[in-house]
Amino acid sequence: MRIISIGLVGLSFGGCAFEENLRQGDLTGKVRIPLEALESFQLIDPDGTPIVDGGFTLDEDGQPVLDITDQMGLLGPVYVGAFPSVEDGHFDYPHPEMGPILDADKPGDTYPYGGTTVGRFDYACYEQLRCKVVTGRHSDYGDIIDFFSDVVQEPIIAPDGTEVTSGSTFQEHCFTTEYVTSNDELSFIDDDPEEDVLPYFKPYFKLNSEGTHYVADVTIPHALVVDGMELWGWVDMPSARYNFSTCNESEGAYHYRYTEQYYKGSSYPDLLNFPGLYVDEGDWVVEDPYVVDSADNEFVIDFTFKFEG
Amino acid sequence: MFGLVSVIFLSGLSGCDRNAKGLVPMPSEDYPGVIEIGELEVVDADTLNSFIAKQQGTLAYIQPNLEDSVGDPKWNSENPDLDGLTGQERYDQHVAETGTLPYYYGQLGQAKDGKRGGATFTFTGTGDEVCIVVDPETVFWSQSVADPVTNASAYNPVYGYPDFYNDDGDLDLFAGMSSYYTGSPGVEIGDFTGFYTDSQGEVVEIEYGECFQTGSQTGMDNAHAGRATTEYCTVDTDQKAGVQYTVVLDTFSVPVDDGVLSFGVAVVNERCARIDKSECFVRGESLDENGVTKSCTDKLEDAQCAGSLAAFCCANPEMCGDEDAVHPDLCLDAYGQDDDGDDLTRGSWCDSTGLCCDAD
Repeated sequence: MRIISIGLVGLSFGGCAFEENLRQGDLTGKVRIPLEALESFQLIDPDGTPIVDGGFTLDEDGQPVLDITDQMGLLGPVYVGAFPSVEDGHFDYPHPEMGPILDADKPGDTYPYGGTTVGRFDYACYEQLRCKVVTGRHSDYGDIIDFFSDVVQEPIIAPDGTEVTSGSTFQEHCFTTEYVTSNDELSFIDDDPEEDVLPYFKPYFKLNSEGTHYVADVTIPHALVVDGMELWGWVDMPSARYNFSTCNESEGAYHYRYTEQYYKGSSYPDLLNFPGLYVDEGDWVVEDPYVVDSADNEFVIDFTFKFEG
Repeated sequence: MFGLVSVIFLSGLSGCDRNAKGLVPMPSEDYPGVIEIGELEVVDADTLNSFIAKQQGTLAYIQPNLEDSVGDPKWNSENPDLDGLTGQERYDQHVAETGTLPYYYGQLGQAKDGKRGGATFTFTGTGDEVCIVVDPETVFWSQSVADPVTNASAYNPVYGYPDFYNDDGDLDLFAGMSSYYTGSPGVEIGDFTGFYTDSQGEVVEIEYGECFQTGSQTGMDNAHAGRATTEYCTVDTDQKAGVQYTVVLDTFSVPVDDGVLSFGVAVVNERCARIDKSECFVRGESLDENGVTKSCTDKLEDAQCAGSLAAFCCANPEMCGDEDAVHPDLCLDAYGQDDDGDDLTRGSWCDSTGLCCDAD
C-alpha cells in the first residue's frame, strides 16, 4: 500500500512537468515615446487661449512658467497589440490589417493575437477625475493635486465645492468613499513602483539617460505567438481640453453616495479590435511595427508618427 | 486501509447507474425533429390586433385558434373598420393578399441521437428594425421557496406554488442573413458562423448572426432564455431591404410529458422595445395532436399575465407542480377579496375570472 501511495503522489507531481506545447507566450520589451510628444503638446483654456505649449505651461501673458516634459500625467494610456500585419491606406496612419467589414458604421475587426496597455484609466475618487487619471503616472496624492492645479489648470474640486489642496484630504476622501484602508488598494498612485520585477505588469515611464525618449518596460501576457506577427499601438494623448478618446465616462462601476450618483468611467472594451474608431488628433502611432521572430527576443516599440487629424 | 479505499471506489461507481435518459424523449415518427416553416411576413402590430378585434395602437398578441373548439368564430367585430368579419375571416383574407403567414404555430419532435433539432424560416428585410419573438410551451416560473413566516419579506406568494416542469420546452433563437446560413432547411440545423484567414494564415471564427440577446452581465450579448420562456431580438435590416434573412429556432429541450415541443413565433415590424415580448404576446402555443391549444393551458397563460398564478394553481392543481411542496397556508387566502372586502372562495374566484379549467 505504501508503494502505491508513493507512486500516486509521484504521478501527480509528474503532471507539473508536462509540456502542453501551447502557442501562447509572454512577450517582454520596451515602449518608447519621443520627448517631442510633450514638447509639441498643447492645452487650451475654455476660451481657446493656450495654457500649455512648447513644453511649458504659460501665464496670462503667454510666457513660459513650468517645464512639463517631466509631467507623465500628460501621457495617456499606451495601447500595444500583436497583429498579423500593419498596413497603410486604411486610415491616415499605419493601421493593423482588418477582417471583413460587417457593419457599415465600423471598420473591420483587427483580430489581434494579444495585447496590453501601459497604464490604464482608474477612478481617482472625484467625479471630476473620471477618465482623467492613468495608472503608473502619479506617485502620490499631492502629485495629482499639483498636476491638475498647475498643468491642466483645473484644480480638483470636492463634492462640497471646496478646492482640494492637500494630499491628506485627498487620501481621506478616497478611503471614505472607496472603502479602502491603504494606498496599496488604489491603483492610480504608486509610491513604490516595482521597477525590475518581471513580468512588467505595473509599467511606468521615465525619461531615458539621453533625454530623448520616455521609456517603459512592458510585458504582453499570454499572446498567441505567430512568427512574423507585428507589434503595433498608439498613445492616447489628451485633447487640447484634457479629454481622452479611449475612455467612456458613462461606463464602469457606479458611484452611489448620497446625492453623488454617476459612473466612474471605463476604457472601451474593443480598443485593439477597432483602433480606427479611437485614434484621434494628436495621438502618437507606431509607424514601423516590431516584427516578432521569437517570443524570447525582447522587443522595442517606437511611437514615431504623430497623427495630426 | 484497503477497506476504506474499496468503499471510496465503490461509492464512486454508484454514480454510473444514472444515465438521465428519462429527461430526453424518444424521437417520434409523427413529429420530425427538424422542420422548415417557409417565409413569414414581417407583420405590423395593428394587423395582429385586427385578427383579434383589439383596438389599434394597443399592444398586440397572437393566437393560434381564431375559432373556438366547435368552429364558432371568435373575435366577431361590429367595428366598421374591420369590415364586420370574424377574426378567422380577416386572417384568411390577409394571407390571401400577402401570400405569407403573419405568424406561425408549430410542433417539433425530439431529434435523433447526435443531431441538432429545430425549425427554420425566412423573412425579407424591410430596411428597418424588426423584432423576432418565439415562445416555446408552456409557462415556467421559479417557486418562491422562502418561508412566509420567518422570511416574509423574501416570500412572494404569487410564485408560492411550484411549476410543472415536464410540460415545458426550450428553443434558442438565432437569426442572420440567409447567405451566411450553413444549415439545410428541413434537413439539418446550421448556424451563422464564418471563417476569416488573416495574412499569417491564422483562421478566425466570425459570428455573422445578427440576433443578439443581452444577459444580466454588461457586455453579454449571446444570452438565451430558459425553459418555456420567450426569446426575442431586434434585427436591424437597415440598407438590407429585400434581403432574405433566416431564423433558426434551435431545440434545447423537448417537454418530457408528451415528447412534442409546441411553439409560436412572429416577426413584427417594430423594434422589440416597442412591443410586448412576454409570455402574453404568444398565446396558446401549447398544442395538442390536432394543432389546437391544449385544454386549460391558455388559462394558465392568462393567469400568469394577470399575476394570479397562485390562485390559478390553487384552483387547478392539476395544471401546476407538486402540491406537497406548497406552504399549507398559501391557498387559504390566494383568491384575494372581492370589491366589498370579503374573502373569495374558489367558486367565486372561478366565476369572477373564468380561469378555472372545469369552467369550460
